[in-house]
Amino acid sequence: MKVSLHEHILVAEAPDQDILGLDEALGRIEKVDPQRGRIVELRFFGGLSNDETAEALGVSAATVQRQWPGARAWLYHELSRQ
Amino acid sequence: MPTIPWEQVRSVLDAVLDLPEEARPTYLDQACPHPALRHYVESLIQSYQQAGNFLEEPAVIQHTFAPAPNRDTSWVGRRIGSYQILEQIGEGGMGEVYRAGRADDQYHKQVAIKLVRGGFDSRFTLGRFKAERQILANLDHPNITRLLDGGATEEGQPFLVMDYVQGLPLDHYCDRRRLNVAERLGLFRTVCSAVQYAH
Repeated sequence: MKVSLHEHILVAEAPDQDILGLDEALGRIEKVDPQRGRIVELRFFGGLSNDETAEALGVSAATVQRQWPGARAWLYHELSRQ
Repeated sequence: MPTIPWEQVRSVLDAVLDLPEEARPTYLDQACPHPALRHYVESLIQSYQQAGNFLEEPAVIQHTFAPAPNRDTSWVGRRIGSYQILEQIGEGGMGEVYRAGRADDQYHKQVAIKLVRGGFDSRFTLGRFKAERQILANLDHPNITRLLDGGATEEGQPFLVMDYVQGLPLDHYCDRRRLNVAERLGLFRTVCSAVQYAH
């Protein structure tokens, strides 16, 4: 079997999105709130849906749904003050 | 992060973002005993409102590699370098992929040629394409298609020449062969080893 490095998987075209900064901020939130960090990891980097994320973490979908807006808010806040 | 403990921030933040906008000030009045906490949560709410689609689209977008035989076949029959374009076999986010053969008939080898779409209108795409070419040129792995050649057409459109690998998309292959979970995971491990090598 061969795998080609085509655009089967293409990084979202958002050159202004600071992936390294995001990774750093994610590291900070993971220290104080590991579950929230995992949610962002699975949803954003893993491309999982809300329900899939919940299943992967063994928590309810409502828990993921409740923590997601705050995670986005905090990370956006961190990235925009850099 | 300010010195306010995250445990305090997160319970207020999750609750307040769950409320309709008009109900938020009243909630903050009773939920934030310290002005510093309220100030910080308010600035987070503001970030939330500015964030738009931030993080909602996954970092990696799956692109289906569906054949698009009727679209942009203008390259079919033309020559690129020493290759004759035979048919379009795929289309992706960055351009089209064609099956091609040696035009001079020196060997009967068939190759896949990938042409970057547009070519000029996106420096970003062009940069990625060049990077891919460089990366591929340095890779030598049994599960990664080999880069054979590369260059630019007369019009300046960059292209890559790679091994032509006949086969099905992996998910179709698995379904057609009715592979069980263990067999699928075996294939997945092979894919992972190639990806790991490429990184």
